[in-house]
Amino acid sequence: MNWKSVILAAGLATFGVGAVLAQQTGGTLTIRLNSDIRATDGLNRDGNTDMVMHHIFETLVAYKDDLTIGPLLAESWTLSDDGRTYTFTLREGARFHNGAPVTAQDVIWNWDRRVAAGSDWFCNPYFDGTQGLKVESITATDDRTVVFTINEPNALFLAQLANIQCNGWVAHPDSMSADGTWNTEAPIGSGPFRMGEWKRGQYLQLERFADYVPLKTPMSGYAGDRTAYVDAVRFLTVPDTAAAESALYAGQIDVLPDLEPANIGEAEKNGAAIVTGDGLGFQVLLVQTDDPLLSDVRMRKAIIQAIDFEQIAKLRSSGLSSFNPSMVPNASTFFDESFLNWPRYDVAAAKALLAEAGYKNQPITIQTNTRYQNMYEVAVVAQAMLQAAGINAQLEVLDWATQLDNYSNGKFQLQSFSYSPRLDPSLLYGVFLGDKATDASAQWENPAAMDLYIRSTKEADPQARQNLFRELHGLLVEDLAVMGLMYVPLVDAVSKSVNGYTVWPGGRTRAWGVSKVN
Amino acid sequence: MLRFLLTRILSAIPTMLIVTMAIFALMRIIPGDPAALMLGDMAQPGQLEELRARMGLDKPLPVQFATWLGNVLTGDFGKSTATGEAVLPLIFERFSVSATVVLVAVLFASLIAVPAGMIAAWRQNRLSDVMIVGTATLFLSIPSFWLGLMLLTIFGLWLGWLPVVGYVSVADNLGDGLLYLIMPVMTLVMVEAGAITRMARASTIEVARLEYITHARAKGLSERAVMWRHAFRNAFAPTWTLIGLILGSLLANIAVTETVFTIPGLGRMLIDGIFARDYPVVQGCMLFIAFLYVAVNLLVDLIYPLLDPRVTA
Repeated sequence: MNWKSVILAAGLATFGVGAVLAQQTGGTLTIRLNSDIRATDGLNRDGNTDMVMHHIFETLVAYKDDLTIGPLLAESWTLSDDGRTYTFTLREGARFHNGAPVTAQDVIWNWDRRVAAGSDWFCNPYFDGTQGLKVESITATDDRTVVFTINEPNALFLAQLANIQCNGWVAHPDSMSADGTWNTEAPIGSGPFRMGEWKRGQYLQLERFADYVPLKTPMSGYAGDRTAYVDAVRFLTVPDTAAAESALYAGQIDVLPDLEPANIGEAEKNGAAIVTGDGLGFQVLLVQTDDPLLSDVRMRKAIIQAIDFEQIAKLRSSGLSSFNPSMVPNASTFFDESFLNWPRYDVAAAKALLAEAGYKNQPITIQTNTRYQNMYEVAVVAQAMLQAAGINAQLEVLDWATQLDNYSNGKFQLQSFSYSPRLDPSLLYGVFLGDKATDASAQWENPAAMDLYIRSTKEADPQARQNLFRELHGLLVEDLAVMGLMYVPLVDAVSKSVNGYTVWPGGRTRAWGVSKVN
Repeated sequence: MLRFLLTRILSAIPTMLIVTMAIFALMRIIPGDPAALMLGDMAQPGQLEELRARMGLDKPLPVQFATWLGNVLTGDFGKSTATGEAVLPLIFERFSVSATVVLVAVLFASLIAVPAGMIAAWRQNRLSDVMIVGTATLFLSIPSFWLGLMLLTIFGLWLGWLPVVGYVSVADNLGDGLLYLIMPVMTLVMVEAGAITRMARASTIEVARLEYITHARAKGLSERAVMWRHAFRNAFAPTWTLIGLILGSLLANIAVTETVFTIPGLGRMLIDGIFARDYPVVQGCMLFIAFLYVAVNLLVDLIYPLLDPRVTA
């Protein structure tokens, strides 16, 4: 070690700047979007829109890496003894991009705006009593304290406040134009990045908010420290995946989210780094239990035993994920081995069940699409396995819009499908459970399961909730109403010039905590 | 000329009306619900019906059609169901991008292919003819998306000379804009030049066999004079028609090239609109494209007499 190294090491030890040196500041981080965002008002949304907006805005609380709830715009909160009153303390030093401090009144203004949006805000049913939980009042006791009162104790209140798709973030009232409409081009948030230039169909650029005061708690999921290191983030719209991969290899894109696992080798060969993690997108084979043929649980069990789900999961994810038929993801703190209980692959048993059910080679159609390669490939392999077991499985390849329409109307026998991430098992159970007579998109009709699901949304104790989920899974094993395959792993490719980029189960790309290496 | 123009414009009206009905009907025939697509797998019970009602999709189809047509006649093409933006300004904005790429590509393709086709005809059955026809056929056979990806790989990835993705308007930055235009224009030039070359060659050969050419040769004119003065000008007229058709067709069908090169043009907007079942966007784009076809063909017909004196307007 020469004298310069000694001085440098001493300097680092004295000032503790190792972390700062590890994360250089400056530069522009370019992230691929497969389609442009829809709007900036948080009401007209899709997955890309949510992800970009959560860089500009902050919710009171947010999901952490372990899918529990952590602080963000609220640095702390307390819950009253009766479980109905949540008191949030806003983060000290939190400011909007126009310099104004974030106040409790701003939180109330945003809440009122969303409630007033009625059905335009698709999350209103989560808070208006339709599904049990009702926000009865929201008040400010001082500039930094906001109090929510709900109708009854609810385990999902914080989870719904943090719900990424709900976009329940806090904007400055000046985000509205003079005519009272949302100013799409210049929304004002309090996040680590501020709105920059938006060239529709091309790119949306965010600029680092220099006055951002982060939390002291470490970055975890969408919660905690959101310090930005890059000067700008450019979300570049590249619809074609092959072109996006070429752009990554040519150095024009820094982060390429959702790389096909099969392309990992190619990406590495071209110098990209691969970042992987457990995901929450639930890939399934949907089964129509109202179908005359498939209403017989023996037929459903035969189908399950005729398909080697474990092998498909392994192949489809290149070994990054594993078979999980339950609605409790591997990344969840509630998950344990009991949720893997499921009829195993056994062709002989499947054939015996088919005979017992009186199956006479009637065709069974699997609907899929080619827009989402994962759905298509699973359908193709499942068809082959079903045919090998003596089931007359047919493939029906539709365009995505048609398949989704069929899903919404329950018009299918089997459908290869994938659900967007739900960050709490109750939210996922809520998607599947329902009454098909009133909701054609419901997949699982079972009053006992519905009762357990409702209890799981109200129960606050984690252990008790886990037990409820176990009971729910037990009922699912009896009904076999949904054929879960796996939770799609997160596979992002990043250029070697990117430092500090990580993925988290929520799956949304994060540009904070990331730097560009010169 | 004026009468011709008026006749053509009036005859375009029923065409456009039929087109509007066909577009509207086709969009409603294909399965897929725009409201379901907007909500995705997040839809709560009852929300789908509410959204459908807000989008006017619960009304009878004739009412929906009459409303849309009535609005279109007043210049209101509606708002995108996906983004909420007004459709007509969006069409103009995206069309300007597509038009830039297409016009430059067709210009270059014509400048290369017309002389090449005529030279091939002049040197019929010689080595230069075989080479030109062979190259034209090769380019004609290559799918544009594959050619685009190959150019991306070679010039963008391997050589690193040209940007792989993104778009900069030449109006915003001439230098960067031209840089981003090179590969998409090259793709279109290579594909379309093949067709133009073959047409130019075929029509030149056809003209060269006519009696007045034989007569010119019999007068003792040199082959060069025969071709330049008599054959090429008359042979260009059919090629011009093809160029017009290609121009109209490319303006409508540039979506693949726009997708590969990330160009935010009209074609990509249309494709995105179809996938999203964004009825106002798709209907607006299709109507605009139909109008373009009519306008380009009318323009070609108006220019035709200038190229071929035998044809009068």
